[in-house]
Amino acid sequence: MKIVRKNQTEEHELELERDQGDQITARVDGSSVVLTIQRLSDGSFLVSDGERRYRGFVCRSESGVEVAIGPYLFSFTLEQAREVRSRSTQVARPEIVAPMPGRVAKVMVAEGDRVRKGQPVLVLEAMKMELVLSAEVPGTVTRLRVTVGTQIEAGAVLVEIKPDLSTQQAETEAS
Amino acid sequence: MKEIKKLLVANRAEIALRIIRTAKALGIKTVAVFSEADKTAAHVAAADEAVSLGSPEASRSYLNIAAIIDAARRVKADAIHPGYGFLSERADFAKAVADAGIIFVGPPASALALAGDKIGARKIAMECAIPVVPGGEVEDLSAARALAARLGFPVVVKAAAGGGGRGMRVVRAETELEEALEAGAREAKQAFGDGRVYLEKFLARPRHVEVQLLCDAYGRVVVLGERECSVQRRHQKLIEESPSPVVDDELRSKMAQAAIKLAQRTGYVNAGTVEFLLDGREFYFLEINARLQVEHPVTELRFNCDLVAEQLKLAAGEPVRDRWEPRGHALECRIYAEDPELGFRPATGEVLYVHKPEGPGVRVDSWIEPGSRITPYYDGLLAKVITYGEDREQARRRMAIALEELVLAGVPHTGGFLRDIVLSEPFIRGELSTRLIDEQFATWRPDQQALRVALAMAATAFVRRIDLTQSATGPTLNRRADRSPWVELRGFVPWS
Repeated sequence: MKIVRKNQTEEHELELERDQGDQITARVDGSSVVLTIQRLSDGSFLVSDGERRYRGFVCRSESGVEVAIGPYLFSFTLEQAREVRSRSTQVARPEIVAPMPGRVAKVMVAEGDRVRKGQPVLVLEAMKMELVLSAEVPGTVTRLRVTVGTQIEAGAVLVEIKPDLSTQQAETEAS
Repeated sequence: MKEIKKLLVANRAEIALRIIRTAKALGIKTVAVFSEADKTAAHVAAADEAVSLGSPEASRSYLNIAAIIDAARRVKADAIHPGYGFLSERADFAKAVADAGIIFVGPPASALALAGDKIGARKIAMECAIPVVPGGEVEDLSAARALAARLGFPVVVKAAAGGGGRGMRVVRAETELEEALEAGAREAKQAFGDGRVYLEKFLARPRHVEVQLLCDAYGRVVVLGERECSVQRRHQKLIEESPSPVVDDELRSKMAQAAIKLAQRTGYVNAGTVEFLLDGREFYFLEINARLQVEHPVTELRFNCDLVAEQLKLAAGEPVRDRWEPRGHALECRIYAEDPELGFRPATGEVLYVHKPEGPGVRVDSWIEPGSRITPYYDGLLAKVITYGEDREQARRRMAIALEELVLAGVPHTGGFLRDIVLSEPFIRGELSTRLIDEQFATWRPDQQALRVALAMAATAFVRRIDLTQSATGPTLNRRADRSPWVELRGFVPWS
């Protein structure tokens, strides 16, 4: 199976070769990993790779699984799940989606505006930082769902953009 | 001398909890306030009483001066501790508290007003012959261009009313100046309600060193050493320590004298901090933090004291204790709900599991437990891991082990990143600067051995039939029971 780490840039090839309950053998990116796993009373586990032992924890996340190994936290998605999601959003409605929760600090476009690919559309402010969100495709702003000051959750659709048909087709064909 | 019998803590999370604990130990009754988002939070459970402030938005709860004073009146609290952040440095709040006949555990409104105006504080420092970073206030773009040309790029845009790095922008070339001024002013306006900005020369690799003060109402000031807080991201601290690995007695004494002068000049009372940038052996006044600092436990471990207890005594009018003996070395690492791989982007979520470090010389100030929600409304500080050692190396080793013990799932956090910094060569050698993270850890990735273990665990989880296609496209899993570990899989997982 192919697993993608959350930042979507790192792919890993995995195969579970043997599963004997408390001992597993997996191929991770072409080399073998043998783990001895022991469940602990608080729901976490103790895992050893023969060299180091870690306390860890596994849970489901919105899009896959999250694995804590000591103080390191990893988030994984199955490649197939990611493809299904990205296809359905990219072709249907190229929209500006909030990557993090926060508050809209600035809106740089109005409904009806034409935007270039990469053009800054709005500024999001969360806790103590600002993030500029840009159009991913060229097109026309069809709907502005937020104004300055709107509090938003991660994943919320902020701006709807109708992509230029020619560009969209070109990108669909290329992918 | 006044007696504090009942204290309202106008804050949340770890600092509220920490203040409540000290007050209780002094025999003072405690009152928590909370927003709707914090109804079940640890600080609410810890206090003797709790009063709801309303909606989760900070402006309607922890920043709502009228609601907080009303709560204090209703429960007949005779003192209010503001913690840090929120209303802690607002002169209007301190004044409103005093006007209501309640003791404000912090400096008087007049000192807060002086310290809070960064441009004014700079002027006071210059009048006291304390060096400041070259720069000044700018009214408009052309004035900014002229000043920047005189200072030479890079320059820094800072908020006049600011602090905590908000509104701060590094400008490397004139072409970036306009955008930085605009963004800095916007962020400053949003954060402080005051869009004034000023320009300063950018120092390439300064250290951040600050001096802890305790000041009584009779004009006496004592210095509790310094803290070095150079390890920062976005101009906000991640690791602090005391003493600084590079400050010697001569420099320490000079910085202490400067800090004392400023405290006396501003009529400061209670605990406060004077921040400096240190460049070689030259130090420059940065700002006065007129409150208890996030990193105060570092000083507490080194001076074997309780700074909140000292604050309460000073607020009640007691004279400051004059003998303070430092010992050993203390370090603090801040665990934030942020993703160090994505430029420290703030993260939200629910804590699904947490295992906190313990042991000799280890202190953890935290508010999280399984089920705690990290919301976008407030600062994302989850926990502070503080270690003490007879020397820096012992404190550092204890920190590395403590951070290895930390396990936290449900929300990205800085724990693993900080462990790697604490184990890195520059940190071991004490070669720190405020640019350390940007210059040497910008492309940080988690421990590769841990990643391989995590990948094998993930493969097992996927194969043991967690239905991921469903969770990727199906309804959001927001009930805790749905997301807790292996709940629906217990039958499948024969790990014992």
